[in-house]
Amino acid sequence: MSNTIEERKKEKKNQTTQKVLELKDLSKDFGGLRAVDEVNMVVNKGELRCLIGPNGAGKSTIFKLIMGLYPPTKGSVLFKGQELVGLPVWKRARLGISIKMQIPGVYGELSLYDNLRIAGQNFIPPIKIDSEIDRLVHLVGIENLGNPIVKNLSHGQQQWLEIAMALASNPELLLLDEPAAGMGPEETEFTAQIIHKLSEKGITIIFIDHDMGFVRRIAQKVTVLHYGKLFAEGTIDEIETNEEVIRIYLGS
Amino acid sequence: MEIFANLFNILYQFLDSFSFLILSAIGLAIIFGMMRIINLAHGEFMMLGAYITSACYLAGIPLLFAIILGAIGVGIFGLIIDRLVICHLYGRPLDSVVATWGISLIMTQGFLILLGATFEGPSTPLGSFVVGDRNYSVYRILLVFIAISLLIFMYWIFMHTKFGLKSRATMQNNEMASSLGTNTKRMNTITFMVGSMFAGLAGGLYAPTMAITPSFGSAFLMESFITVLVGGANPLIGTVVSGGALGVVNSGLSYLYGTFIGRVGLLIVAILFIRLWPFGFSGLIEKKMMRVK
Repeated sequence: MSNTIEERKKEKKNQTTQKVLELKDLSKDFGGLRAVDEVNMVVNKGELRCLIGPNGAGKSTIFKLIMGLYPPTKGSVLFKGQELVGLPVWKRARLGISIKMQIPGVYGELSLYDNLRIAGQNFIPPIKIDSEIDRLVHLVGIENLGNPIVKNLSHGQQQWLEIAMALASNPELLLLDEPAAGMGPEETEFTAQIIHKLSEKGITIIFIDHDMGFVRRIAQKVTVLHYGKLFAEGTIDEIETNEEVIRIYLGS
Repeated sequence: MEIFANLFNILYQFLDSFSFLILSAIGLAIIFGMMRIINLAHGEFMMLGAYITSACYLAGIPLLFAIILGAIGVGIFGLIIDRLVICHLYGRPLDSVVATWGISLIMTQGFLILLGATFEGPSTPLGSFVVGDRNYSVYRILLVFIAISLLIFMYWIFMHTKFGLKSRATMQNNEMASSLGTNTKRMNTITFMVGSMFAGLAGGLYAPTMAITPSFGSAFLMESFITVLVGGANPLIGTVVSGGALGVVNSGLSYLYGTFIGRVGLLIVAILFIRLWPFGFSGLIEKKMMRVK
Protein backbone atom coordinates (compact mmCIF):
# COMPACT_ATOMS: atom_id res chain seq x y z
CA MET A 1 0.00 0.00 0.00
CA SER A 2 2.67 2.46 1.06
CA ASN A 3 4.60 1.38 -1.95
CA THR A 4 1.92 2.48 -4.33
CA ILE A 5 1.55 5.81 -2.54
CA GLU A 6 5.28 6.32 -2.81
CA GLU A 7 5.14 5.48 -6.46
CA ARG A 8 2.24 7.78 -7.01
CA LYS A 9 4.08 10.57 -5.24
CA LYS A 10 7.09 9.92 -7.40
CA GLU A 11 4.95 9.91 -10.48
CA LYS A 12 3.33 13.15 -9.42
CA LYS A 13 6.72 14.69 -8.75
CA ASN A 14 7.87 13.62 -12.19
CA GLN A 15 4.84 15.26 -13.66
CA THR A 16 5.46 18.56 -11.90
CA THR A 17 9.07 18.66 -12.97
CA GLN A 18 7.91 17.89 -16.48
CA LYS A 19 5.82 21.05 -16.49
CA VAL A 20 8.05 23.86 -17.64
CA LEU A 21 5.29 26.43 -17.77
CA GLU A 22 1.89 26.57 -16.18
CA LEU A 23 -0.59 29.44 -16.48
CA LYS A 24 -3.38 29.48 -13.92
CA ASP A 25 -6.47 31.68 -14.45
CA LEU A 26 -4.22 34.25 -16.07
CA SER A 27 -6.04 37.49 -16.90
CA LYS A 28 -4.99 40.92 -18.09
CA ASP A 29 -7.16 44.02 -18.44
CA PHE A 30 -6.19 47.12 -20.36
CA GLY A 31 -8.59 49.74 -19.07
CA GLY A 32 -11.98 48.14 -19.65
CA LEU A 33 -10.71 45.67 -22.20
CA ARG A 34 -9.98 42.14 -21.11
CA ALA A 35 -7.09 41.12 -23.35
CA VAL A 36 -6.40 37.79 -21.66
CA ASP A 37 -9.29 36.05 -19.93
CA GLU A 38 -8.63 33.32 -17.34
CA VAL A 39 -6.26 31.29 -19.46
CA ASN A 40 -5.12 27.94 -18.10
CA MET A 41 -2.35 26.27 -19.98
CA VAL A 42 0.44 23.78 -19.36
CA VAL A 43 3.55 23.41 -21.47
CA ASN A 44 5.76 20.40 -20.81
CA LYS A 45 9.50 20.09 -21.08
CA GLY A 46 10.80 19.85 -24.62
CA GLU A 47 7.47 20.75 -26.17
CA LEU A 48 7.18 22.79 -29.37
CA ARG A 49 3.92 24.62 -28.96
CA CYS A 50 2.19 27.09 -31.23
CA LEU A 51 -0.27 29.81 -30.24
CA ILE A 52 -2.68 30.85 -32.97
CA GLY A 53 -5.74 33.05 -33.07
CA PRO A 54 -7.21 36.12 -34.76
CA ASN A 55 -5.61 39.53 -34.28
CA GLY A 56 -6.17 40.84 -30.78
CA ALA A 57 -6.76 37.38 -29.34
CA GLY A 58 -4.17 38.05 -26.64
CA LYS A 59 -1.27 35.96 -27.93
CA SER A 60 1.48 38.56 -27.61
CA THR A 61 -0.01 39.74 -24.31
CA ILE A 62 0.38 36.23 -22.89
CA PHE A 63 4.05 36.26 -23.91
CA LYS A 64 4.55 39.61 -22.18
CA LEU A 65 2.81 38.30 -19.07
CA ILE A 66 5.09 35.26 -19.00
CA MET A 67 8.17 37.46 -19.44
CA GLY A 68 6.88 39.99 -16.88
CA LEU A 69 6.74 42.94 -19.25
CA TYR A 70 3.16 43.45 -18.07
CA PRO A 71 1.86 42.65 -14.58
CA PRO A 72 -1.19 40.37 -14.75
CA THR A 73 -4.56 41.56 -13.47
CA LYS A 74 -5.13 38.18 -11.92
CA GLY A 75 -3.80 34.63 -11.90
CA SER A 76 -0.37 33.11 -11.80
CA VAL A 77 2.50 32.07 -14.00
CA LEU A 78 4.52 29.10 -12.80
CA PHE A 79 7.91 28.30 -14.29
CA LYS A 80 9.10 24.82 -13.27
CA GLY A 81 6.73 25.13 -10.32
CA GLN A 82 8.03 28.52 -9.22
CA GLU A 83 5.66 31.48 -9.08
CA LEU A 84 6.87 34.24 -11.40
CA VAL A 85 4.26 36.92 -10.73
CA GLY A 86 5.99 39.71 -8.83
CA LEU A 87 9.46 38.93 -10.15
CA PRO A 88 11.04 41.63 -12.35
CA VAL A 89 11.74 40.88 -16.01
CA TRP A 90 15.50 40.56 -15.61
CA LYS A 91 15.15 37.95 -12.86
CA ARG A 92 12.88 35.86 -15.08
CA ALA A 93 15.47 36.17 -17.84
CA ARG A 94 18.10 34.84 -15.45
CA LEU A 95 15.87 31.94 -14.44
CA GLY A 96 15.95 30.75 -18.04
CA ILE A 97 13.13 32.39 -19.97
CA SER A 98 13.92 34.21 -23.17
CA ILE A 99 11.78 36.13 -25.64
CA LYS A 100 11.99 37.31 -29.21
CA MET A 101 9.37 40.00 -29.46
CA GLN A 102 7.21 40.81 -32.43
CA ILE A 103 8.85 44.15 -33.16
CA PRO A 104 12.58 43.61 -33.76
CA GLY A 105 14.51 44.74 -30.70
CA VAL A 106 17.98 44.59 -32.18
CA TYR A 107 20.34 47.52 -31.73
CA GLY A 108 20.46 48.84 -35.28
CA GLU A 109 23.56 51.00 -35.19
CA LEU A 110 25.70 48.35 -33.49
CA SER A 111 27.38 45.46 -35.26
CA LEU A 112 26.04 41.91 -35.21
CA TYR A 113 28.66 40.73 -32.72
CA ASP A 114 28.11 43.76 -30.47
CA ASN A 115 24.41 42.94 -30.37
CA LEU A 116 25.26 39.43 -29.22
CA ARG A 117 27.71 40.87 -26.71
CA ILE A 118 24.89 42.96 -25.19
CA ALA A 119 22.71 39.87 -25.10
CA GLY A 120 25.39 37.75 -23.48
CA GLN A 121 27.00 40.13 -21.02
CA ASN A 122 24.67 39.24 -18.15
CA PHE A 123 25.10 35.50 -18.59
CA ILE A 124 28.55 34.75 -19.93
CA PRO A 125 31.83 35.50 -18.15
CA PRO A 126 33.90 38.02 -20.17
CA ILE A 127 36.68 35.54 -20.81
CA LYS A 128 34.34 33.12 -22.57
CA ILE A 129 32.17 35.62 -24.38
CA ASP A 130 33.89 35.49 -27.77
CA SER A 131 33.76 31.71 -28.01
CA GLU A 132 30.16 31.69 -26.75
CA ILE A 133 29.10 34.23 -29.36
CA ASP A 134 30.75 32.10 -32.01
CA ARG A 135 28.82 29.10 -30.75
CA LEU A 136 25.51 31.02 -30.93
CA VAL A 137 26.23 32.25 -34.43
CA HIS A 138 26.89 28.68 -35.59
CA LEU A 139 23.95 27.27 -33.64
CA VAL A 140 21.52 29.55 -35.43
CA GLY A 141 23.48 29.25 -38.65
CA ILE A 142 24.13 32.91 -39.42
CA GLU A 143 27.92 32.67 -39.60
CA ASN A 144 27.84 33.57 -43.30
CA LEU A 145 26.43 37.02 -42.48
CA GLY A 146 29.79 38.19 -41.13
CA ASN A 147 29.78 41.15 -38.78
CA PRO A 148 27.87 44.01 -40.42
CA ILE A 149 26.09 46.94 -38.80
CA VAL A 150 22.75 45.41 -37.97
CA LYS A 151 20.49 47.99 -39.61
CA ASN A 152 21.98 46.91 -42.96
CA LEU A 153 20.67 43.37 -42.51
CA SER A 154 17.39 42.26 -44.08
CA HIS A 155 14.32 41.96 -41.91
CA GLY A 156 14.66 38.19 -41.86
CA GLN A 157 18.34 38.29 -40.95
CA GLN A 158 17.55 40.66 -38.07
CA GLN A 159 15.00 38.15 -36.78
CA TRP A 160 17.57 35.34 -36.86
CA LEU A 161 20.03 37.55 -35.01
CA GLU A 162 17.37 38.19 -32.42
CA ILE A 163 16.80 34.47 -31.98
CA ALA A 164 20.55 34.10 -31.44
CA MET A 165 20.43 36.93 -28.89
CA ALA A 166 17.55 35.24 -27.08
CA LEU A 167 19.71 32.10 -26.83
CA ALA A 168 22.59 33.86 -25.10
CA SER A 169 21.11 33.12 -21.69
CA ASN A 170 21.00 29.40 -22.52
CA PRO A 171 17.23 29.43 -21.87
CA GLU A 172 15.02 26.49 -20.99
CA LEU A 173 11.92 28.24 -22.31
CA LEU A 174 12.04 30.24 -25.50
CA LEU A 175 9.14 32.48 -26.56
CA LEU A 176 9.10 33.43 -30.24
CA ASP A 177 6.57 36.03 -31.33
CA GLU A 178 6.03 35.65 -35.08
CA PRO A 179 9.52 34.39 -35.91
CA ALA A 180 8.74 34.15 -39.62
CA ALA A 181 6.60 37.27 -40.09
CA GLY A 182 7.37 39.18 -43.27
CA MET A 183 9.79 36.57 -44.61
CA GLY A 184 9.97 35.09 -48.09
CA PRO A 185 9.55 31.30 -48.61
CA GLU A 186 13.30 30.57 -48.40
CA GLU A 187 13.77 32.65 -45.28
CA THR A 188 10.71 31.03 -43.69
CA GLU A 189 12.14 27.59 -44.44
CA PHE A 190 15.44 28.55 -42.81
CA THR A 191 13.58 29.85 -39.75
CA ALA A 192 11.70 26.54 -39.51
CA GLN A 193 15.03 24.71 -39.59
CA ILE A 194 16.42 26.90 -36.81
CA ILE A 195 13.39 26.22 -34.60
CA HIS A 196 13.61 22.48 -35.29
CA LYS A 197 17.27 22.44 -34.39
CA LEU A 198 16.64 24.28 -31.11
CA SER A 199 13.76 21.98 -30.25
CA GLU A 200 15.97 18.94 -30.82
CA LYS A 201 18.45 20.42 -28.34
CA GLY A 202 15.74 20.12 -25.71
CA ILE A 203 14.69 23.76 -25.45
CA THR A 204 10.99 24.17 -24.72
CA ILE A 205 9.61 26.54 -27.34
CA ILE A 206 6.34 28.42 -27.64
CA PHE A 207 5.78 30.42 -30.80
CA ILE A 208 3.09 32.60 -32.31
CA ASP A 209 2.41 32.56 -36.03
CA HIS A 210 -0.30 33.24 -38.58
CA ASP A 211 1.06 31.20 -41.46
CA MET A 212 -0.66 27.80 -41.16
CA GLY A 213 1.82 26.23 -43.55
CA PHE A 214 4.63 27.24 -41.22
CA VAL A 215 2.68 26.08 -38.17
CA ARG A 216 2.00 22.71 -39.77
CA ARG A 217 5.67 22.42 -40.71
CA ILE A 218 6.94 22.65 -37.13
CA ALA A 219 4.35 22.66 -34.34
CA GLN A 220 3.62 19.52 -32.32
CA LYS A 221 0.68 20.94 -30.42
CA VAL A 222 -1.45 23.99 -31.13
CA THR A 223 -3.35 26.27 -28.75
CA VAL A 224 -6.06 28.49 -30.21
CA LEU A 225 -6.96 31.76 -28.50
CA HIS A 226 -10.06 33.82 -29.21
CA TYR A 227 -11.01 37.09 -27.46
CA GLY A 228 -8.46 36.41 -24.77
CA LYS A 229 -9.89 33.00 -23.94
CA LEU A 230 -8.38 29.60 -24.56
CA PHE A 231 -10.57 28.30 -27.37
CA ALA A 232 -9.13 24.93 -28.35
CA GLU A 233 -6.02 22.85 -27.88
CA GLY A 234 -4.73 19.82 -29.73
CA THR A 235 -2.53 18.44 -32.46
CA ILE A 236 -2.38 20.33 -35.72
CA ASP A 237 -4.70 17.79 -37.37
CA GLU A 238 -7.28 18.09 -34.62
CA ILE A 239 -7.18 21.87 -34.83
CA GLU A 240 -7.39 22.03 -38.57
CA THR A 241 -10.47 19.82 -38.60
CA ASN A 242 -12.14 21.48 -35.61
CA GLU A 243 -15.20 23.16 -37.07
CA GLU A 244 -15.40 25.87 -34.42
CA VAL A 245 -11.78 26.84 -35.07
CA ILE A 246 -12.41 26.90 -38.80
CA ARG A 247 -15.39 29.16 -38.21
CA ILE A 248 -13.59 31.74 -36.05
CA TYR A 249 -10.14 31.69 -37.51
CA LEU A 250 -9.13 29.46 -40.35
CA GLY A 251 -12.03 30.34 -42.62
CA SER A 252 -13.84 27.97 -44.94
CA MET B 1 47.69 93.73 -32.29
CA GLU B 2 44.29 95.37 -31.89
CA ILE B 3 42.74 92.71 -34.16
CA PHE B 4 44.46 89.92 -32.28
CA ALA B 5 43.17 91.25 -28.96
CA ASN B 6 39.65 91.45 -30.38
CA LEU B 7 39.83 87.94 -31.84
CA PHE B 8 41.13 86.63 -28.55
CA ASN B 9 38.27 88.35 -26.76
CA ILE B 10 35.70 86.74 -29.07
CA LEU B 11 37.32 83.33 -28.73
CA TYR B 12 37.50 83.67 -24.95
CA GLN B 13 33.84 84.63 -24.75
CA PHE B 14 32.84 81.75 -26.99
CA LEU B 15 34.84 79.21 -24.97
CA ASP B 16 33.56 80.63 -21.70
CA SER B 17 29.98 80.41 -22.92
CA PHE B 18 30.57 76.92 -24.36
CA SER B 19 32.02 75.55 -21.13
CA PHE B 20 29.28 77.19 -19.06
CA LEU B 21 26.59 75.57 -21.24
CA ILE B 22 28.29 72.17 -21.25
CA LEU B 23 28.99 72.09 -17.53
CA SER B 24 25.53 73.27 -16.56
CA ALA B 25 23.82 70.84 -18.94
CA ILE B 26 25.86 67.66 -18.67
CA GLY B 27 24.18 66.16 -15.58
CA LEU B 28 20.73 67.10 -16.78
CA ALA B 29 21.46 65.67 -20.23
CA ILE B 30 22.56 62.30 -18.82
CA ILE B 31 19.45 61.97 -16.65
CA PHE B 32 17.05 63.14 -19.35
CA GLY B 33 18.69 61.23 -22.19
CA MET B 34 19.03 57.93 -20.37
CA MET B 35 15.96 57.91 -18.18
CA ARG B 36 13.49 60.39 -19.71
CA ILE B 37 13.32 62.03 -16.28
CA ILE B 38 13.24 65.82 -16.38
CA ASN B 39 15.06 66.94 -13.25
CA LEU B 40 13.76 70.41 -12.43
CA ALA B 41 15.87 70.31 -9.27
CA HIS B 42 19.00 70.18 -11.43
CA GLY B 43 19.97 73.75 -10.49
CA GLU B 44 19.52 72.93 -6.82
CA PHE B 45 21.72 69.85 -7.21
CA MET B 46 24.38 72.22 -8.53
CA MET B 47 23.68 74.56 -5.62
CA LEU B 48 24.20 71.68 -3.19
CA GLY B 49 27.51 70.90 -4.88
CA ALA B 50 28.58 74.54 -4.50
CA TYR B 51 27.64 74.54 -0.79
CA ILE B 52 29.47 71.28 -0.06
CA THR B 53 32.52 72.55 -1.94
CA SER B 54 32.46 75.86 -0.06
CA ALA B 55 31.99 74.19 3.32
CA CYS B 56 34.86 71.78 2.67
CA TYR B 57 37.04 74.65 1.46
CA LEU B 58 36.28 76.66 4.60
CA ALA B 59 37.16 73.60 6.68
CA GLY B 60 40.64 73.78 5.17
CA ILE B 61 40.45 71.19 2.43
CA PRO B 62 42.24 72.25 -0.80
CA LEU B 63 39.86 73.53 -3.47
CA LEU B 64 40.42 70.64 -5.90
CA PHE B 65 39.48 68.04 -3.29
CA ALA B 66 36.63 70.23 -2.04
CA ILE B 67 35.16 70.20 -5.55
CA ILE B 68 35.53 66.41 -5.80
CA LEU B 69 33.86 66.01 -2.41
CA GLY B 70 31.05 68.23 -3.66
CA ALA B 71 30.53 65.92 -6.64
CA ILE B 72 30.57 62.80 -4.46
CA GLY B 73 28.22 64.38 -1.92
CA VAL B 74 25.65 65.29 -4.58
CA GLY B 75 26.04 61.80 -6.10
CA ILE B 76 25.08 60.26 -2.76
CA PHE B 77 22.25 62.78 -2.41
CA GLY B 78 21.07 61.77 -5.91
CA LEU B 79 21.12 58.10 -4.90
CA ILE B 80 18.90 58.86 -1.89
CA ILE B 81 16.50 61.00 -3.95
CA ASP B 82 16.28 58.25 -6.56
CA ARG B 83 15.43 55.59 -4.01
CA LEU B 84 12.90 57.81 -2.21
CA VAL B 85 11.21 59.57 -5.11
CA ILE B 86 12.49 59.11 -8.64
CA CYS B 87 12.39 55.29 -8.77
CA HIS B 88 8.61 55.46 -8.41
CA LEU B 89 8.38 57.77 -11.40
CA TYR B 90 10.27 55.90 -14.13
CA GLY B 91 8.37 56.19 -17.37
CA ARG B 92 6.28 59.09 -16.07
CA PRO B 93 8.11 62.22 -17.30
CA LEU B 94 5.37 64.70 -16.41
CA ASP B 95 5.05 63.41 -12.86
CA SER B 96 8.81 63.61 -12.54
CA VAL B 97 8.63 67.30 -13.42
CA VAL B 98 6.21 68.02 -10.57
CA ALA B 99 8.12 65.89 -8.07
CA THR B 100 11.52 67.36 -8.87
CA TRP B 101 10.08 70.87 -8.85
CA GLY B 102 8.91 70.15 -5.31
CA ILE B 103 12.39 68.91 -4.42
CA SER B 104 13.89 72.09 -5.84
CA LEU B 105 11.55 74.30 -3.75
CA ILE B 106 12.27 72.33 -0.60
CA MET B 107 16.02 72.59 -1.20
CA THR B 108 16.03 76.33 -1.97
CA GLN B 109 13.83 77.27 0.98
CA GLY B 110 15.48 74.73 3.28
CA PHE B 111 18.93 76.20 2.62
CA LEU B 112 17.57 79.70 3.11
CA ILE B 113 16.10 78.80 6.50
CA LEU B 114 19.04 76.73 7.71
CA LEU B 115 22.02 78.66 6.36
CA GLY B 116 20.73 82.13 5.62
CA ALA B 117 20.78 84.20 2.47
CA THR B 118 24.51 84.01 1.75
CA PHE B 119 27.35 81.65 2.44
CA GLU B 120 31.06 82.34 2.29
CA GLY B 121 32.54 80.78 -0.83
CA PRO B 122 36.10 80.29 -2.04
CA SER B 123 37.60 83.15 -4.05
CA THR B 124 38.52 82.56 -7.68
CA PRO B 125 41.96 80.92 -7.74
CA LEU B 126 44.82 81.21 -10.25
CA GLY B 127 44.63 84.96 -10.87
CA SER B 128 44.33 86.59 -14.27
CA PHE B 129 46.27 87.69 -17.33
CA VAL B 130 46.04 90.62 -19.74
CA VAL B 131 45.57 90.58 -23.51
CA GLY B 132 45.22 93.99 -25.16
CA ASP B 133 43.49 96.15 -22.59
CA ARG B 134 41.36 93.44 -20.98
CA ASN B 135 41.75 91.11 -17.99
CA TYR B 136 41.08 87.41 -18.40
CA SER B 137 40.63 84.85 -15.61
CA VAL B 138 42.95 81.84 -15.80
CA TYR B 139 40.40 79.77 -13.86
CA ARG B 140 37.77 80.30 -16.54
CA ILE B 141 40.23 79.08 -19.18
CA LEU B 142 40.81 76.03 -16.99
CA LEU B 143 37.05 75.43 -16.89
CA VAL B 144 37.07 75.15 -20.69
CA PHE B 145 39.62 72.35 -20.49
CA ILE B 146 37.67 70.68 -17.69
CA ALA B 147 34.44 70.85 -19.72
CA ILE B 148 36.16 69.24 -22.71
CA SER B 149 37.82 66.58 -20.50
CA LEU B 150 34.46 65.77 -18.92
CA LEU B 151 32.94 65.28 -22.36
CA ILE B 152 35.76 62.92 -23.29
CA PHE B 153 35.36 61.14 -19.95
CA MET B 154 31.62 60.79 -20.53
CA TYR B 155 32.30 59.48 -24.05
CA TRP B 156 34.66 56.88 -22.59
CA ILE B 157 32.16 55.82 -19.89
CA PHE B 158 29.29 55.37 -22.31
CA MET B 159 31.18 53.98 -25.28
CA HIS B 160 33.92 51.85 -23.76
CA THR B 161 32.74 50.37 -20.46
CA LYS B 162 30.38 47.53 -19.66
CA PHE B 163 28.24 50.01 -17.72
CA GLY B 164 28.07 52.17 -20.84
CA LEU B 165 27.03 49.27 -23.06
CA LYS B 166 24.31 48.28 -20.61
CA SER B 167 23.06 51.81 -20.14
CA ARG B 168 22.92 52.45 -23.89
CA ALA B 169 21.05 49.18 -24.35
CA THR B 170 18.64 50.26 -21.62
CA MET B 171 18.26 53.72 -23.13
CA GLN B 172 17.46 52.41 -26.61
CA ASN B 173 15.11 49.63 -25.65
CA ASN B 174 14.22 49.16 -22.04
CA GLU B 175 12.01 46.08 -22.62
CA MET B 176 14.67 44.37 -24.68
CA ALA B 177 17.44 45.11 -22.19
CA SER B 178 15.46 43.73 -19.26
CA SER B 179 14.46 40.67 -21.29
CA LEU B 180 18.17 40.09 -21.80
CA GLY B 181 18.68 40.02 -18.05
CA THR B 182 19.78 43.58 -17.33
CA ASN B 183 18.40 45.01 -14.10
CA THR B 184 17.14 48.19 -15.74
CA LYS B 185 15.93 49.65 -12.47
CA ARG B 186 19.43 49.48 -11.04
CA MET B 187 20.84 50.92 -14.26
CA ASN B 188 18.46 53.86 -13.82
CA THR B 189 19.54 54.37 -10.22
CA ILE B 190 23.22 54.38 -11.16
CA THR B 191 22.50 56.71 -14.08
CA PHE B 192 20.67 59.14 -11.83
CA MET B 193 23.57 59.02 -9.41
CA VAL B 194 26.12 59.67 -12.16
CA GLY B 195 24.02 62.56 -13.52
CA SER B 196 23.75 64.02 -10.01
CA MET B 197 27.52 63.74 -9.59
CA PHE B 198 28.08 65.72 -12.77
CA ALA B 199 25.63 68.38 -11.50
CA GLY B 200 27.44 68.55 -8.16
CA LEU B 201 30.79 68.76 -9.93
CA ALA B 202 29.59 71.65 -12.09
CA GLY B 203 28.24 73.42 -9.00
CA GLY B 204 31.56 72.96 -7.21
CA LEU B 205 33.52 74.19 -10.24
CA TYR B 206 31.49 77.40 -10.42
CA ALA B 207 31.47 77.93 -6.64
CA PRO B 208 34.64 80.11 -6.73
CA THR B 209 33.22 82.35 -9.46
CA MET B 210 29.82 83.22 -8.05
CA ALA B 211 28.03 84.22 -4.87
CA ILE B 212 26.96 81.13 -2.90
CA THR B 213 23.26 81.64 -2.23
CA PRO B 214 20.24 79.32 -2.04
CA SER B 215 19.22 80.57 -5.49
CA PHE B 216 22.64 79.66 -6.95
CA GLY B 217 20.98 77.08 -9.22
CA SER B 218 18.69 79.55 -10.94
CA ALA B 219 21.71 81.07 -12.69
CA PHE B 220 22.17 77.77 -14.53
CA LEU B 221 18.62 76.61 -14.96
CA MET B 222 17.76 78.40 -18.19
CA GLU B 223 21.08 77.65 -19.89
CA SER B 224 21.08 74.01 -18.86
CA PHE B 225 17.54 73.36 -20.05
CA ILE B 226 18.02 75.18 -23.33
CA THR B 227 21.20 73.20 -24.02
CA VAL B 228 19.43 69.89 -23.39
CA LEU B 229 16.36 71.00 -25.34
CA VAL B 230 18.35 72.07 -28.37
CA GLY B 231 20.64 69.07 -28.06
CA GLY B 232 17.90 66.47 -27.86
CA ALA B 233 17.89 63.12 -26.16
CA ASN B 234 21.40 61.91 -26.94
CA PRO B 235 23.59 63.14 -24.07
CA LEU B 236 26.80 62.79 -26.07
CA ILE B 237 26.10 64.20 -29.51
CA GLY B 238 23.34 66.52 -28.35
CA THR B 239 25.27 68.26 -25.59
CA VAL B 240 28.41 68.83 -27.63
CA VAL B 241 26.70 70.14 -30.76
CA SER B 242 24.17 72.27 -28.96
CA GLY B 243 26.78 73.61 -26.51
CA GLY B 244 28.88 74.64 -29.52
CA ALA B 245 26.03 76.19 -31.49
CA LEU B 246 24.48 77.98 -28.54
CA GLY B 247 27.94 79.13 -27.46
CA VAL B 248 28.33 80.86 -30.82
CA VAL B 249 24.89 82.49 -30.56
CA ASN B 250 25.32 83.55 -26.96
CA SER B 251 28.88 84.85 -27.18
CA GLY B 252 28.31 86.48 -30.58
CA LEU B 253 25.23 88.37 -29.46
CA SER B 254 26.78 89.20 -26.09
CA TYR B 255 29.87 90.59 -27.82
CA LEU B 256 27.81 92.73 -30.18
CA TYR B 257 24.84 93.78 -28.04
CA GLY B 258 25.58 92.80 -24.42
CA THR B 259 24.77 89.82 -22.22
CA PHE B 260 21.06 90.56 -21.99
CA ILE B 261 20.60 90.20 -25.74
CA GLY B 262 22.87 87.14 -25.56
CA ARG B 263 20.38 85.42 -23.25
CA VAL B 264 17.44 86.55 -25.37
CA GLY B 265 19.20 84.94 -28.33
CA LEU B 266 19.37 81.62 -26.46
CA LEU B 267 15.64 81.73 -25.78
CA ILE B 268 14.87 82.50 -29.42
CA VAL B 269 16.97 79.53 -30.55
CA ALA B 270 15.12 77.34 -28.04
CA ILE B 271 11.72 78.49 -29.34
CA LEU B 272 12.79 77.90 -32.94
CA PHE B 273 13.95 74.40 -32.08
CA ILE B 274 10.73 73.49 -30.28
CA ARG B 275 8.77 74.66 -33.30
CA LEU B 276 10.92 73.21 -36.08
CA TRP B 277 12.98 70.33 -34.71
CA PRO B 278 11.39 69.17 -31.45
CA PHE B 279 13.89 66.30 -31.14
CA GLY B 280 16.84 68.68 -31.16
CA PHE B 281 20.22 68.20 -32.79
CA SER B 282 20.48 64.54 -31.85
CA GLY B 283 17.08 63.95 -33.45
CA LEU B 284 18.29 65.62 -36.63
CA ILE B 285 21.58 63.75 -36.68
CA GLU B 286 20.13 60.37 -35.75
CA LYS B 287 17.47 60.71 -38.42
CA LYS B 288 20.21 61.24 -40.95
CA MET B 289 22.60 58.48 -39.96
CA MET B 290 21.58 56.28 -37.08
CA ARG B 291 17.97 55.19 -37.26
CA VAL B 292 16.98 51.58 -37.71
CA LYS B 293 14.27 50.57 -40.20
